[in-house]
Amino acid sequence: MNALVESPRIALVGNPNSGKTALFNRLTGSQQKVANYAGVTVERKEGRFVAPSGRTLRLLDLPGAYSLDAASPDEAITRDICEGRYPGEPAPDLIVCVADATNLRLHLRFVLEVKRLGRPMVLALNMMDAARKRGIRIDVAALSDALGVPVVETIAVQRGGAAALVEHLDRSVAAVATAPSLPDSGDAAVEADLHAQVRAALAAAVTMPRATSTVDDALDRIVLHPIGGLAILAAVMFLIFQAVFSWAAPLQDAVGAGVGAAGAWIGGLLESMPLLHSLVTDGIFAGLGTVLEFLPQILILFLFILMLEESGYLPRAAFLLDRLMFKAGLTGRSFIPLLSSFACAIPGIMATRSIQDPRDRLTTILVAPLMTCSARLPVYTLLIGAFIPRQTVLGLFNLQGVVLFTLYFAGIVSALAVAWVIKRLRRDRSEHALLMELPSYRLPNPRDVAIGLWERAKIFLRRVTGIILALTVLLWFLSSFPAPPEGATLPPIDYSLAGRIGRWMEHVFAPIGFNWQICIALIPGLAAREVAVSSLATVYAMSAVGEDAIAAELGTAIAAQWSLATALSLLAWYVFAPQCMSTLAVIRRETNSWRNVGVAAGYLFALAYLASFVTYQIARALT
Amino acid sequence: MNAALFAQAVVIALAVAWAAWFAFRRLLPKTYRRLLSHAVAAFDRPSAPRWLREYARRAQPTSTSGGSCGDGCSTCGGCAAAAKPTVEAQPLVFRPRAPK
Ligand SMILES: Nc1nc2c(ncn2[C@@H]2O[C@H](COP(=O)(O)OP(=O)(O)OP(=O)(O)O)[C@@H](O)[C@H]2O)c(=O)[nH]1
Ligand SMILES: [Mg+2]
Repeated sequence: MNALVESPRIALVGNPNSGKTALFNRLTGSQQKVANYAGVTVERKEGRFVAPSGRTLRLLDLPGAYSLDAASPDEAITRDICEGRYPGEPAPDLIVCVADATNLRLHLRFVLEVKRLGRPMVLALNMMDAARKRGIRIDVAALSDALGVPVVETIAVQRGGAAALVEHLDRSVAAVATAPSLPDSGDAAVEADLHAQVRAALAAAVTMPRATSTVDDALDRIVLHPIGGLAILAAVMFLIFQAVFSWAAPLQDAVGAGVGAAGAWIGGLLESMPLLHSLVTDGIFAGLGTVLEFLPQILILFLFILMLEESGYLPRAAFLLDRLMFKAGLTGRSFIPLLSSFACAIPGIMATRSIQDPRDRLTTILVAPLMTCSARLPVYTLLIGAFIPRQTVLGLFNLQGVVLFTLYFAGIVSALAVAWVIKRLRRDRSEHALLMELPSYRLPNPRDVAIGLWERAKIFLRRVTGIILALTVLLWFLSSFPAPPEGATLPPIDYSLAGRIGRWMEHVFAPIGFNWQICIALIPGLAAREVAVSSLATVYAMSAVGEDAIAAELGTAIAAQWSLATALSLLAWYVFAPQCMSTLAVIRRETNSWRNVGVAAGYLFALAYLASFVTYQIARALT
Repeated sequence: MNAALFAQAVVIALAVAWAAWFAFRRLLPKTYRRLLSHAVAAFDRPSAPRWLREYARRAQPTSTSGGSCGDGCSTCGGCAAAAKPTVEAQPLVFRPRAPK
């Protein structure tokens, strides 16, 4: 352990989106999130790797920063670490400043700022592949002379693309260990004009055929068109939800059939042991198997999210929606945190750290749970699959996909509405300027996308075999005991603890159409939303008696037993309800206030109840 | 009670105990850690046998065992960041720049 503490520490700093995390992953072999927009990394991550000399080096990946005068919480951490003022963390032994070689005009400014700290550093000119493609030529020796720091070229996304950097680090940490850090050369006259220095360095070392990329400009003319751009955005979103339904269906059926067969086989083996048989078939197989069926859909959703993230399209979408979002009291900067919330509200809320204005940040945090996270997908698709026919509308669209799109859309609209109300309540009239970098377009690398999907699948499976399994077993236990009295006629679950709790809760939820089975599922669903589905499956498997017990398929069971109004009401509930304790915990941590947690949970529950009530009453009147 | 029923009861008791422990650890990670360090302190006493102290020390919760929340849904505090080599993440503390 001591050897590690003493091994040299190297920090990766630089402008956002310059490829620091890609370099970090290349060097340490880890899988931190890389995406093509500014503000991906918001935490300090540490890893280590062994250099060719056998020395172990510790590497820090830091959030990107435009300047050391930090404006947002994520920039502050970078500044503090570079200056050696981060609590419990001495200044790094060596700073690797990462700059995008295609964007030196912007990035060299920060390099010079870091240089003024007077610590040992090296400049990594990243994305050399992209620079060469665009015909940008950089004279590394001249650049190094002009800046007064060593310069190495890197291509973080290519195997061996960081070899020169590793070699340099290996050599220079040996020197650093003995030599004291460089004296601060920050002479006031030089400091005054960073821009002049950048210009001089560029003139001395860089030849650029064009300031911007022709491909980017051509694409932006279409994608950023005020009307055409919005149409493209709508089409992209629509395509995603269509795909989630139509592509996943065969895979989903295959998983379902596999799980069913395995359950039947194991159930057969346990025929002689009724209690265990019930635990395994009604609890584990009915519960987990039902959730597992949704893996293909979640992966298809993430396939799109990963490709969009890497393409560079997302900041453009933010740009398009900026006006609309500003009217609603958010800023274009809120777009990416809100978009991340489609995967899960937790990284979404973390991503708000790149929002400078604390009030905008709080508003974004409060509405992030309204974005439909991927854990809600199983609930939505279960209900849609059971109640909405698989048919084509307008000769083109899958009706189930349309309903799913509507649900996502309802989440977005309500987020905008809530933000608007918050803005009204604050009587906030802040002026507005969106400064946002539009990165170059990039074709997603299939290998990286595949790795990203695999990571997602692992996270999902870990949830299924961890928390979802544990809660399913507990729910099975509560639904089986106490055992029914002698001569009982109803299914045993009616006499159990869970059954009684469900019946008691039914009084509160009857006005919105929830039966006692749904009420039971709501409680474990607080821990993880998908658990609501596994719990429903367990509860229905256990309440089936005799003949029905064979038809254990959850979708069929609820289609037969629920009214359409109940199903729609539950869907409305899930659009709003803060059914996830981890999200509330993260709100607490990120805003450092229980009050905000109370506000978020309170308004979300109120909205959920109201929406379900209205939906249920209207649907019942109409059907 | 016959042997088969007894065996079933044992298996079910174990499964339910595991589930309760797991859910507790995952849903209330801080409380879990606090209780665990109390337990460790209680067992790791000079009067306790060597093997017990050894075991207690190994069970000592480490401060870095919490994962990063950036890694995805519900990984908070549950497991370390998804990476082969150890990658430690720390939540960030915002401190305004001190006036010069
Ligand atoms: N062509 C090319 N693309 C690269 C290279 N390095 C990184 N990228 C891409 O650049 C984008 C940004 O990479 P990240 O590693 O997330 O950038 P970062 O500096 O960590 O960004 P923040 O965390 O937001 O500060 C991603 O789309 C990468 O795939 C490179 O050498 N060549
Ligand atoms: Mg990064």
